[in-house]
Amino acid sequence: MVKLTSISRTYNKGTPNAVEALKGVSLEVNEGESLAVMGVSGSGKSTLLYIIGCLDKADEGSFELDGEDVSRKLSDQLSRIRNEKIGFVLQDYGLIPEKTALENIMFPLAFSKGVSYKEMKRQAKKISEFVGIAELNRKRVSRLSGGQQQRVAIARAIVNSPKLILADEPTAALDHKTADRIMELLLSLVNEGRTLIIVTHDKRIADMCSRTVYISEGVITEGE
Amino acid sequence: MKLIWRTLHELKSSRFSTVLIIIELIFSIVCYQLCFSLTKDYLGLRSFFADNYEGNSVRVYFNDDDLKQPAALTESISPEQSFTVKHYMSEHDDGIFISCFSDEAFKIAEEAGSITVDLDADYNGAQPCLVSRTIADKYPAGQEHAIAGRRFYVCGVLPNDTVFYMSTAGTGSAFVMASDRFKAPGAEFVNGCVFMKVGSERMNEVTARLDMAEGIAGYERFVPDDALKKEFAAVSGILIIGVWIAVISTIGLLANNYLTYKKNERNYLVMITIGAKKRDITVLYLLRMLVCIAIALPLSFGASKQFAAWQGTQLAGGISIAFAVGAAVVIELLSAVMIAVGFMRKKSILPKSA
Ligand SMILES: Nc1ncnc2c1ncn2[C@@H]1O[C@H](COP(=O)(O)OP(=O)(O)OP(=O)(O)O)[C@@H](O)[C@H]1O
Ligand SMILES: [Mg+2]
Repeated sequence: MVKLTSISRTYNKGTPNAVEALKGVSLEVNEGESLAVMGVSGSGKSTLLYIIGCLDKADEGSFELDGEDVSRKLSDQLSRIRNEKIGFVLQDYGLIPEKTALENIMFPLAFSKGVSYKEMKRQAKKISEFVGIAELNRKRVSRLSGGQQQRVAIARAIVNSPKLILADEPTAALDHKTADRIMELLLSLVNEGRTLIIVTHDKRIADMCSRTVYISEGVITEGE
Repeated sequence: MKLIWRTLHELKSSRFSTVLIIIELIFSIVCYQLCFSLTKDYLGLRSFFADNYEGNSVRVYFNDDDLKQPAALTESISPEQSFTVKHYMSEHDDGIFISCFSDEAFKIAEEAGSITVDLDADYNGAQPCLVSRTIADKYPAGQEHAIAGRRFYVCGVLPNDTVFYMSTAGTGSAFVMASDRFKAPGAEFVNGCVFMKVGSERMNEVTARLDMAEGIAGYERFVPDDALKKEFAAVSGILIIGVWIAVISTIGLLANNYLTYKKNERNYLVMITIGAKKRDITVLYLLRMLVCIAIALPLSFGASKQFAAWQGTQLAGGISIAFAVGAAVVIELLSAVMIAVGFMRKKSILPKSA
């Protein structure tokens, strides 16, 4: 599903405050796998996720997603890929606070081709039910609790039925019980055949995944 | 349908700033209109002074709604129709031009034996007035006088055979009073003077004719009176204030546009994360601006009209409203496009600005 080969990413390249966030990272994630990415703060976890999520481009190395080489694609094509193949659960949920839960869930469909407005609504309702937040549909997101917002974010991430789900510390702000339920939800998606890559600080969460990698100062190590 | 849905959401999600943009647009348009109409007055007065200093002519500007009625051709009218004229210039060697501070002063001047040409509701309350030689001698030019307690100011003395005309600030029609030698074809000669009502279409022709007349006659230099100087100062004063208000409202408009964008930037980046193209976002943003403009336009037309009415006819020019609306729309669109271009060229699309 995901194949990174010697990926490097340097922020502010060529300036005095250049930061080498990733240094020649190679990583392969198979379809149906759930991968936890761990590492201390600033080690490059989010950067890795942004690259896999086609939001940022590597300076060096090659990146294949679902059998396609994406490192040379144009930004509009990348938008298309993000819209169709990737579901992003952002570090701070990344919801639009003034809108209702249902509207937030509908949004990715508003930017995808060939989905009618009716279909958008129907699909979003179906997903929100699946995620267990149907009763929150009409509530504004800014009024929801952290756990509820996280569910909305997950619903939004999967409304387009993406093959790959990327989650940046989805449980960081949640208590154990809520975190477990969120993980249950995410892993149930993996059981449906999707691929999950999850960034976490929490060993407990990582242990629920089928595989764990560690990043330290932009370098990746497998297993322990 | 989906585009409408997206645009509605864009408008809804920043309801407050959308309303603010609309209000600011209306405010700017009214400000610009004030500026433009003041500029018009200012330039009118400027040209008035310039003419007086350079052309040795006597020109008095005033506003009179009657004058704006389009009498297409140079039309001879009987003085009784428009003026109260007791005596005429030709009966005396000199005429005198008086600026009074009120209509009453004028009546009193009349009662005192002066001869008046009352053109009504003129600029700054100034009333042109023809008087006899004796009265002219009694009230020297360049000084303030009083008749029965009413103050008035004598601007200057016109030699006999004088041509003078009064017009609105170069754009409207004008009343022209000329001696026989320079009367327009078809104009009737009444008691030594011709009173012509000139439609604005004929202004150039009449101006040329008058310039010619002035050239032949070779008049004394006429120094603008204090009242007009004051008027000039007042108009330029308000104009400066108007320009400042317009500048401030422009800055407000630009700042608000930028802040609205900044406030929404995170949402835009989130939308990009979930698969929107940069172009989608730009279209959304520009559509929102267009909706704002579309709402603000009719409202600001109304507001400008109200404002003009409140300010008096001087500001009611449709041209200045059109200019104002044009300026505001151009500024709004330009800033929106600049922000949109900035967004299109933005390198990082990572949704971590929050
Ligand atoms: N946009 C950026 N510009 C410059 N430097 C950046 C940028 N984003 C991240 N960095 C730097 O790159 C390094 C890796 O950052 P990254 O966000 O990937 O870390 P992280 O592992 O996700 O940390 P955290 O656990 O705190 O989220 C850090 O040193 C960070 O300061
Ligand atoms: Mg991070």
